[in-house]
Amino acid sequence: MTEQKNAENGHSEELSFWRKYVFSTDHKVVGKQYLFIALFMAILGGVMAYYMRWQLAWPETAVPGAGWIPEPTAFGGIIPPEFYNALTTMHGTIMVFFVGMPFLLGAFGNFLLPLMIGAKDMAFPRLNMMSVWTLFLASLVMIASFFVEGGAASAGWTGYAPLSADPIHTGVTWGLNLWILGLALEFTSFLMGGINFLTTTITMRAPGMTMYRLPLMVWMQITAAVIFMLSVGPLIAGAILLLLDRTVGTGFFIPELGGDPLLWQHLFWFFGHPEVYVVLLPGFGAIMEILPVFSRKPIFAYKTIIWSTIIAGALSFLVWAHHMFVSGMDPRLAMPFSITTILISVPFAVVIFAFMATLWGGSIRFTTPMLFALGTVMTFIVGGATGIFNGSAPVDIFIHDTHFVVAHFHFTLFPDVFLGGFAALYFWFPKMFGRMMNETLGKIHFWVTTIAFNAVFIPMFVLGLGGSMRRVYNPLQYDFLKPMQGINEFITYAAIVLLLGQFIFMFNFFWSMFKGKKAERNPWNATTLEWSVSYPIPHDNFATIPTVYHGPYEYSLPGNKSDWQPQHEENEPVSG
Amino acid sequence: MTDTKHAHPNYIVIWAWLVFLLAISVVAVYLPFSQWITVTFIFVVAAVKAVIVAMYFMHLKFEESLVRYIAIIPVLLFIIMTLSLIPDTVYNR
Amino acid sequence: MSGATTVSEYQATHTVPGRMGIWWFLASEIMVFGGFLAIYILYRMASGGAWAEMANHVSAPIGTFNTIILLTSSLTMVKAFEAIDNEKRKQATNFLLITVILGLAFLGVKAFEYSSEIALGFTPLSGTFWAFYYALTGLHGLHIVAGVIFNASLLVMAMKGTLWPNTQHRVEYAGLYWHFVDIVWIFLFPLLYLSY
Ligand SMILES: [Cu+2]
Repeated sequence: MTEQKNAENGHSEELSFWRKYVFSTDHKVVGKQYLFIALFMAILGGVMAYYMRWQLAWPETAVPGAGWIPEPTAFGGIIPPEFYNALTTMHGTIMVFFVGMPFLLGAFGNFLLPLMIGAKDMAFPRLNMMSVWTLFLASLVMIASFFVEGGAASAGWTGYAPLSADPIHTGVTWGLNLWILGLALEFTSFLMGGINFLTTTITMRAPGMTMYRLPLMVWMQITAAVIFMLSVGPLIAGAILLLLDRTVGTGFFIPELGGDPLLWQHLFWFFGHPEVYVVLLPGFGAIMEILPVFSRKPIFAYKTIIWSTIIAGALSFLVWAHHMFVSGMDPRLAMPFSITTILISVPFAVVIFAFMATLWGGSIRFTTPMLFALGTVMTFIVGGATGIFNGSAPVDIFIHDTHFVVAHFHFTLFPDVFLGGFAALYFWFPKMFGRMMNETLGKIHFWVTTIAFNAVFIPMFVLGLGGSMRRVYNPLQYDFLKPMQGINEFITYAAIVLLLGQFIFMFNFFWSMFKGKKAERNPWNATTLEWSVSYPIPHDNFATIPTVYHGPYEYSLPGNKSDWQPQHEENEPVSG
Repeated sequence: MTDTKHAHPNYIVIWAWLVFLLAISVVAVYLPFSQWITVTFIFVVAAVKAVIVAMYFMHLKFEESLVRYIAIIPVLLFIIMTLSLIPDTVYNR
Repeated sequence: MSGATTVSEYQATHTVPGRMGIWWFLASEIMVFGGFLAIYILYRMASGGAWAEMANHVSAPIGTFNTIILLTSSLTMVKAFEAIDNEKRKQATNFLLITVILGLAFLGVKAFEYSSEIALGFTPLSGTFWAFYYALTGLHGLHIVAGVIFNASLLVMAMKGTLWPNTQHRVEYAGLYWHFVDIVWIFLFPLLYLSY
């Protein structure tokens, strides 16, 4: 092997506390670090959502719990328009880049990928450590941007120029520069992570682990990594030019100086649409692991799922202008981009049908991970179906920039990041922390989250069809929105329930980590390689690299003693 | 390791080709052809130079196909992106 | 299920992790520079010839000279890799040294070019062409700086003899990066210096 491997492997007992838990090169520790960053940032993003929702339901009243915010930002808990804009911007940025990606790619990708392919660690363990600390730095920069003169970025999470290109429009100076810097660091972090994911999967699979024997979680992680790497470059180029516009005084995106602000939108969405699949696919990957385990059936159409997602990934580079139908771009682009957008729903429909076919005729066990997995599929269907409305230019012209769009993308991203992420966390918690999470609390958490989520976002579709614009500060300023204010209040009540419900999870998470029932090696009777090692997993994972004999989803094989066939066991599986 | 012990090509000859191509593209600017022809010629020559560097200096010619895809797909994406932005950015200002 | 089998014996590909990692890195770099070039090309086409006047003021002879320097440094870099492949340590060290010197020479010429342009009053604020000129060559220059630092660190290891026996293939990886930066320049040169 290469020299890095020899240097990093082994001798895990001799490492100091700092090398073992803080600056660790162990992919499992790195994965957990990603997890904690993601959960912390999720709390931040959730609090911001609460402030926004309160403002929308009872505009310009003091928000309970916001009284601590000092004067120029908020006034005794009353949120001024500038801070409201910063909240919408930073809520989006944090939830997509600092929760979605670290949670699904960072935490589960890092923790699971080497275990699932039977490798001792990532291909470049030190690069892996650097990636998580770069993300940590990026998070600090993002948080710091709230405390600089002028406040945090407030040009929307998409940072449209010229709003973002010249401080005179928003009054935000350093906040937006730090926003660009924080995003650049975040991109760097995930580029490093992606290089590791891809190189590890390509070059370090265990003997017998062919590409078509990889668990789908691994397939989804590497597909997401490829999509991210190929889409983010032009946006990095654009972001550098935007920063030059703001700091040096060039005019790349400022029309008066000969720039083209629309190009920023093109660059952003050339990245932005593939980016939602970067977040989406690993969440789906978790679902693809969980559904067969709790249906005791092989996943339906394994190869079709792989190729559907690869096709969807390729198509995702050809749909971006569906975000720009009303932006003033060349109208001749509307038709081709509508067509590609509607086409891209086909591979995802295939995947969803494969999920349903997996459940069909299985002996389903409604454990907490399974409930969350099913919840993900159910809610995502609503998000995917409403995406077709947004993607067709004629409909989009009516609903563009309304709360319909907000409801749509929350219906795609929330199930994936949170329901899918929770499913994954409940499922792999025993492998990560050696204990089981509490099932009863988990089920309560599931029902509260799912019901409250739907109560928040189904009415929001109605609001959007009624013409309520997204990013509006005070809906009561508009007479035609006044009759719908009751809906806004209802949504806010539901959102508060949704956020409070997460305390159940937080209690369960920390309580189970220390006091939960000790987990067996393979508590769910699953087949993939990570269940073949027992907790605590040593630094180099496998004492001997396992040999793989089977595909990842060999459940309920006729003539077998038990109903699951681990990937690394030749025949005659042992039960237990 | 499994580093392919391929016989190295004669790099100096390749370098000479690159310098020659550079020279003709510089000279082409001063020749009395129409601007359209000159620009096309210059960029075709640049593309040829890039391919030569990638094939021999970066030994892409001797790599397995996966590595070639890793190199080619981003280039294709760049071309697709540029072409599909032309109607909007160039003709719609 | 013998424990003695190593992973590498079963690798599906003969590509070692280091080289594979570098290629993925380069793929993402292609998209970054591709984005830059796309923006530049689109703006240039949209400007309808208005930039030709501005583009006339860059010095094609200096640019050509610098291109030759960079092409030659690519040659010495690949010669260093060849020498490593053939176990000729002294030769490899010498070629690395020349590569580093040529990289520094490129930066020196570029600095001279910048200063003479700024002396003539052409700054990043003198119009969109100049803004692009400084942004593109600046980013490329930063890549050259990174490459020079990396090559120089390999050179120091080679002179001390610590490059062998475990890390000599880093010369190949550094070379892949260096040639990539060269390719970027191969396109930047006609885009900025020749097409007026
Ligand atoms: Cu989209």
